[in-house]
Amino acid sequence: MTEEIISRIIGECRKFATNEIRKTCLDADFSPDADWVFGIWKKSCQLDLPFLAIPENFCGGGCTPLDCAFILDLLAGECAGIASVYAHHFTACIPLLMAEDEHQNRFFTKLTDKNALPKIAAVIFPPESGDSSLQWIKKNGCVIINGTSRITGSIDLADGFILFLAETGDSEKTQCVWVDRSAKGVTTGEPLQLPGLKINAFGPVLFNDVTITNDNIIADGQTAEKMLKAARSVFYGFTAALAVGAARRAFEKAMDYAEERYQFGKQIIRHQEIQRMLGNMHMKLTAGSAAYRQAFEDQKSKLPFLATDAVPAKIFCTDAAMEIVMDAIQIHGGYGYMHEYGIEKIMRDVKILQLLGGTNSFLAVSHIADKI
Amino acid sequence: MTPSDIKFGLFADAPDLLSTLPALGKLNKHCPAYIKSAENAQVIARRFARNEMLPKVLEIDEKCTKDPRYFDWDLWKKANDIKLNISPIPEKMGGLGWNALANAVLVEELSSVCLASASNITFNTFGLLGAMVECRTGIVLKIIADMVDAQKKGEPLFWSWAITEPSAGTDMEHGRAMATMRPSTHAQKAPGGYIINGTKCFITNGSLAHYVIANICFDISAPKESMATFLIPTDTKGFSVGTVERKCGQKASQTAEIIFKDVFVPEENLWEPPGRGLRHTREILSITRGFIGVAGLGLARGALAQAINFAAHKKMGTHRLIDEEWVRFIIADIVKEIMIVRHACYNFAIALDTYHVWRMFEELPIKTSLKILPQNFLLSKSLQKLAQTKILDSAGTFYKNKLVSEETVEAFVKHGSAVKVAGTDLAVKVANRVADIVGLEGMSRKHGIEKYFRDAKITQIYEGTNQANRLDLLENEIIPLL
Repeated sequence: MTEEIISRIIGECRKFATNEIRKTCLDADFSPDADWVFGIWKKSCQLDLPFLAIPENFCGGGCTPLDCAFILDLLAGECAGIASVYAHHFTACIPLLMAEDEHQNRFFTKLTDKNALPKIAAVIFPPESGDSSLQWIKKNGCVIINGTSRITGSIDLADGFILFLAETGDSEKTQCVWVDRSAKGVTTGEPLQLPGLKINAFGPVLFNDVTITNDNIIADGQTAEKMLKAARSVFYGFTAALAVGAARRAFEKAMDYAEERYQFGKQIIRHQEIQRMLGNMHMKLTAGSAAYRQAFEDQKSKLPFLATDAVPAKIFCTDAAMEIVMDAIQIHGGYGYMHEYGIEKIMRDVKILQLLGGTNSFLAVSHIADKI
Repeated sequence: MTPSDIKFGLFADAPDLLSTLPALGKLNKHCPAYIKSAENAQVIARRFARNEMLPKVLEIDEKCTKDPRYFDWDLWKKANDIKLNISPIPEKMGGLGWNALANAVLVEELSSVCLASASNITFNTFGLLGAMVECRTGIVLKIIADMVDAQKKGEPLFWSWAITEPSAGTDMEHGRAMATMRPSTHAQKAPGGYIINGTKCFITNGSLAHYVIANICFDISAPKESMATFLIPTDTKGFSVGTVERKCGQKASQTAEIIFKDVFVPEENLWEPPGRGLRHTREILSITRGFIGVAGLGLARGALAQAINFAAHKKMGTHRLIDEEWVRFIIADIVKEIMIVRHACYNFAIALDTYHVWRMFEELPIKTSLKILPQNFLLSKSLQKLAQTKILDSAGTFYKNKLVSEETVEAFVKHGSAVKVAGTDLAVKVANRVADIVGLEGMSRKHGIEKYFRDAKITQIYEGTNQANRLDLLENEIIPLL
């Protein structure tokens, strides 16, 4: 896809985000409503937004993960909560991009079926540490699953999940399967009541003798392990992009407010301390944008995206985003703390982005430990 | 929130002041009664925080999310029953007679569970604090008697301190900023009193207050020179409450817009004349900023206690989350910072007792009066009337100004600002770092840790932004040397 087409798509998405998300996302944050999210999702189908990560030969947008990250960055500028639903969905497409033709055909056709209701997918990773609380056995070519999955997003929206089953230290046993939300024995657990990304329900998925038939087993062994690494890495990259997008919005709001507000007889943007804060925010934004781009850069032109190590980008971007948002609130004074100004929501959203896929301190430790 | 079985902070056996702040040992040797009273306060405050607040605060937070005007009277009444909301009033007059050190203990313990509920209980002393600035004997005695009477009846008597104007918060607390601001609220002279018009915003308890102590200028083009302090009963015609804000956190504490439309205030309710309003604010700040630092410290300690509780019970395969080395290092670092800030906070509280208004209770004339006069007389209308005579009324002001000089006030603005920045920055830092330990699951509402995170941020903004506090610190400590 040419850069021209990509920038046109980005332009359209920006318009969509401003028109459809900006006005209503604060209300949605206050009273989270799956119907609202689904309404946005349906409208975004007119732009082919949910299909961007799917190859063109399956009627998708054929965007690279980096292109998808750009889109997520700008969606998160309006609402990181709804952007995170797209992030989960795009991530679910990654293992499929690496799957056999027959699986691609089956699942991409399912996801892009424009006659049916639009489909939303999500990914369930194995726990980053410790053993999975899911038990599974292989029987007659099927996989039978029991137990409680680790926490994932979109649990009340997803029509299906890409589920990874893995055992610590034995990559031969890794499985990548598709689970229909409506399959027998699949239920969702109590959603967590998180302070941020509130419109995206996070929680575990419960499995009670769920049988995954052979045609829903996408890969196993080393192939599944590669898919897992790629999907995880892309998800870290996407999380980084979401954080940068959310923080950019906070920065813009702080810049605007600093020009409006007068103190000591001049606009506060004319005070050096405010300039220092805004300068540091700008620096972190620039570095954050570069960090997540870099994480995808090597694979920009080819699909599928293979495991580039995106953990440092995730840590840097989400931590930088939190610092940016905190300072943006500080510049707004008391107004920054009030719901109607929309900045405190960004702080709550970014807090959850810091914790997605493992907390930042944990990831800093484990991504080095994994290399030993 | 669930109680922790790990005996840290709120869950440790009280009193632990001497073991956690060993430097107090020296004081304990020379003034055992002083330390004993603080230890007593710790036992009472910790018990109240643990038994009454802890089981309720999440439920209150949720109710306030739905309705920002919800106020939990049940918790407030329980605090009122044991006089926590009138703690600084002398024991003889019906209060608890707690000094600054004991009140710091109270704020730390209550804030370690919920800063918003803590402020509902402890900020009620604003009325007394406001009156103590001018210290007119008649007014001080009347306010004490009213507060004690309300406490006995179990009825609320709320005071609000109305400083912030729309788009001007910190401006109202700093001389140079005030000189250049353009306030919306203003007063004008009328026969027998003053007429007030305008709007104040972000006023803590503005929607519940019976009295508002407000800083309002006479000339909006010269706010600093014309700023005065008024006592305004909220049942006065023309006073109304606007929006009660929906906030990120500290939801149990109401933050309201208050509107004055031709509000008439009688002559005697002018507490500070034009030009003295800023001085009034500075004196209150010289005490309250330090206590906000203590509140931040309490919040940090509470967030850490809950995170330790979570990490000690969260299984990671064969071990617990708290057994991870990286978790232990984060916790150690937080413990270190809490220790350092806590020493600064208590150092400030002891200094308040030594040099600021609290010292008055230790001075011979007041000490003796409190000792020999019967309680009924101390709280009587006849004493109030007597004290309102010109000589006695101004004697209080004269005496207090002699004990607490302008220099003392500015020195405490300096020290208080340092403690405020240290305590509130700590609150935000710790609330963030514990999230990094407990992760998504630990940040689910039921553990209460996410509430600390939401509550913390405003502490860096109210009572003067931490930037304004830094300015005050610099302008009192370094600038005079240049």
